[in-house]
Amino acid sequence: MTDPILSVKNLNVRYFSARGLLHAVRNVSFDLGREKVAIIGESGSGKSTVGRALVRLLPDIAKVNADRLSFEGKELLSLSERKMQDIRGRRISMILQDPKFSLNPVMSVGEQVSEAYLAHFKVSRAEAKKRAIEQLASVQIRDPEHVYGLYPHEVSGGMGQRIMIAMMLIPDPAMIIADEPTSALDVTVRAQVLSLLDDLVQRRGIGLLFISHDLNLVQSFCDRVLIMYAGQVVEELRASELHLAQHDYTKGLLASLPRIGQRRDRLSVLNRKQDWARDLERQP
Amino acid sequence: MSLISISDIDLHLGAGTRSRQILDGISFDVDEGQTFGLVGESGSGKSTVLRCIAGLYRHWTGSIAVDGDTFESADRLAWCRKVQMVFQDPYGSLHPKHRISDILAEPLQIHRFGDIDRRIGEALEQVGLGGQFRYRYPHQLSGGQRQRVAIARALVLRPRILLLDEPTSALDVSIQAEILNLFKDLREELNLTYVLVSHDLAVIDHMCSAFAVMQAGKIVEVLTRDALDAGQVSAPYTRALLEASGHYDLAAPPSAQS
Repeated sequence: MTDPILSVKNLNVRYFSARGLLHAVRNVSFDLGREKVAIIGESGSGKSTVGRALVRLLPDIAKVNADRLSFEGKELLSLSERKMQDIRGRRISMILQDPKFSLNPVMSVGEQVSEAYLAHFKVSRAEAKKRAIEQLASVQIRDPEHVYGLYPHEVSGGMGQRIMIAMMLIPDPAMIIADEPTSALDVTVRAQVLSLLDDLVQRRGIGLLFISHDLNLVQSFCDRVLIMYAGQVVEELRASELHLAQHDYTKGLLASLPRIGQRRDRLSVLNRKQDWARDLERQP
Repeated sequence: MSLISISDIDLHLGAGTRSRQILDGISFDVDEGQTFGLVGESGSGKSTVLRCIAGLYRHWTGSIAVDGDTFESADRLAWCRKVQMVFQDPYGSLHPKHRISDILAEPLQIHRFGDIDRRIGEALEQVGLGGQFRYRYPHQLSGGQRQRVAIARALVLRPRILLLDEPTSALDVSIQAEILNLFKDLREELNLTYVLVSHDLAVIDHMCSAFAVMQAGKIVEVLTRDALDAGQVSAPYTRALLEASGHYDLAAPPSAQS
């Protein structure tokens, strides 16, 4: 790929705690261009840790290192925290799983969106409010002036997630990390949120890193898929070629999904092998 | 005769001007040994139907009968011995400070069963957990193991009906397969009848011979699995649900018109 937005090479995350060392992410390498790349894996596979390591949001006990972690030509790990704040939220945004927990319950949703704008741009409050309302409209919220004054408990899950997306988009980022953005949503609402994200990638040329455990969804939505197991990327595939997976873990995952119209008495169960967790070769 | 017979359930929640009708004329029958599905978006009332059957809401109108006995006429404890529920989130449904043995003993004590120790061992065996889990706490178990404990707790009273409220949506897909297989095995082994709530049509299709699609407190349509597989859905809402849930699997057969 030419000119990736993000380039990661041999990313490692280790947690040092009283209970010893946990090597949570091992030698993860990938590039992200103007496309939708998914990271798939079960809980505990390290997929969310990768997302958080990219924006340096991990707790202090986590030690992150990488041969390369460059975003728009800047080496993220060597930036000062001050410089990092110009990137986090401004150039790289993160959409979290559940809008109920990530919105501030005692602040109107519109103020939260304009706060995101004020944090990065020197503008008046009135100007920020105007931009926030425009942004709410652009995520297909009807009557954005009215919604601006609502509190998080007054909006539905789907609308809450669109408000989160509006908040993440208002500083005009080059890349979005979406950590299970639709798992708390209904299938019908999910389609709306996905088409919104899809539109952003197409129209604004944003790079989207989509962290999920939902294989069906990723298969139809993303361009490429990285499959993580026990902290390592065990396989990388084009989403359209997921059925050609070689690794036993990916094959096992695909086989364990129930599918409409496919009568099976029993679903096949993942038969975990010790071998899957052994260290893979580092990229040179 | 069907084992579960539900007719014309209405339920309102909230008082005065804030009163909302949550269920509107819900009726369906479930035969013994069948798995009946309820599918719909959140807020459509599908979990509420289960709560009415379990007796967690009691102010509904209409009639719910199990095995010929209506809810009003039945003894509360006897009803609970017949109908048990498994909840969505195994992280929230098990008391964090109780050992697995205490969690499983509680319903037995309430219902004054004897031979508690043997029954706990048997229930753990049935859900594929060994005796070594008996003295652990929920936090020492994985999500799948916790859901197995929740299933064991439901089974320990030897019910005839299990109400399953999104039993796998908090689990990874690989674990989901294990739990769905377990439900199928238990159904054969113990001659159970299930009512399964899920938002995932593929899970419903895998488990249920028939299911109802719910929207805004009403049943939009009742479908058999054969009708779903053949793409014979009539309600536009069901079609939308079908398209949103896994259209890539359905793209192949020519019957699915687009």
